[in-house]
Amino acid sequence: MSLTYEEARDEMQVMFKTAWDAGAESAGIEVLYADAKKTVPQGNDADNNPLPWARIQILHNLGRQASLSGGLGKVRWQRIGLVMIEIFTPLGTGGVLADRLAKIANDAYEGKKSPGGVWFRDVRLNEVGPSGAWWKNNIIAEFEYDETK
Amino acid sequence: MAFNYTQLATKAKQLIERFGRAVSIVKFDESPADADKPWRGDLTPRTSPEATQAVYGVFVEPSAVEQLGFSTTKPEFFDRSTQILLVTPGPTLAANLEEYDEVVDGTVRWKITGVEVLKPGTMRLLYFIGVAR
Repeated sequence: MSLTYEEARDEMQVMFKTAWDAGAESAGIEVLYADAKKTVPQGNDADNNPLPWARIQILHNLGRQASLSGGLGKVRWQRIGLVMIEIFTPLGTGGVLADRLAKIANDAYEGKKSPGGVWFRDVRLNEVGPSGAWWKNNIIAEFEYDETK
Repeated sequence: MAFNYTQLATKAKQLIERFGRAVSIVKFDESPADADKPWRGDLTPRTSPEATQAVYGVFVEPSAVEQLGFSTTKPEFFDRSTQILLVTPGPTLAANLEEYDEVVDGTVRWKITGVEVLKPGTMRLLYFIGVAR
């Protein structure tokens, strides 16, 4: 299987969006994507808590030749990086929503593989703590895929 | 009784219009081109922006703003800005320029890097808009 940067980015974000939109607690919660204009939600919910939101980033950080060329002269190039999902939930609400949303984001990648061949490993939760009016949880997943050319 | 800032806001607007020049401040559209792939955003955000405000502004160097007595607890505001644009909304402009993305000055488009607001009461008197190319 072979993926370009654009194809891999699409597949990884589709996996997250599918899980997020299907989650009972996460459906409807605003997601901000890197370099797509979207303002952090400014409103409050029915209990006057600031609205929760999330941000996803795909960060490539390593690349290397992963094979010698075969009979067709094609070489496999490996791409490695991180998916980082930052989840912001209202500060002072006990962390229940934070943990539930973190699980939805976590389960979007843990033990999963995208249709085009993006593998994920070491998916984990990092609690960052208070950030402005929100509690911040990070879900980090390491990814790996190949482009053959 | 709360102080009425209307007269002060009007005077500030007159001064900026007298010593500054006309610019446009643009807020990009947030609607993605493909709702199934919102991470791709709007491919042409400058073609049909969500809002455009025609205002007058005065461009000054960041160091000059500090000399005018403006200070901020965010040093990155000055570090990220090539110039600072002073804009007075006057008593009638309701739009919140803190949510805007670019300043159009003739043929030059400046990215807004940060916004500080002088708002001692309920009315915004002066915007300090940091911009960079």
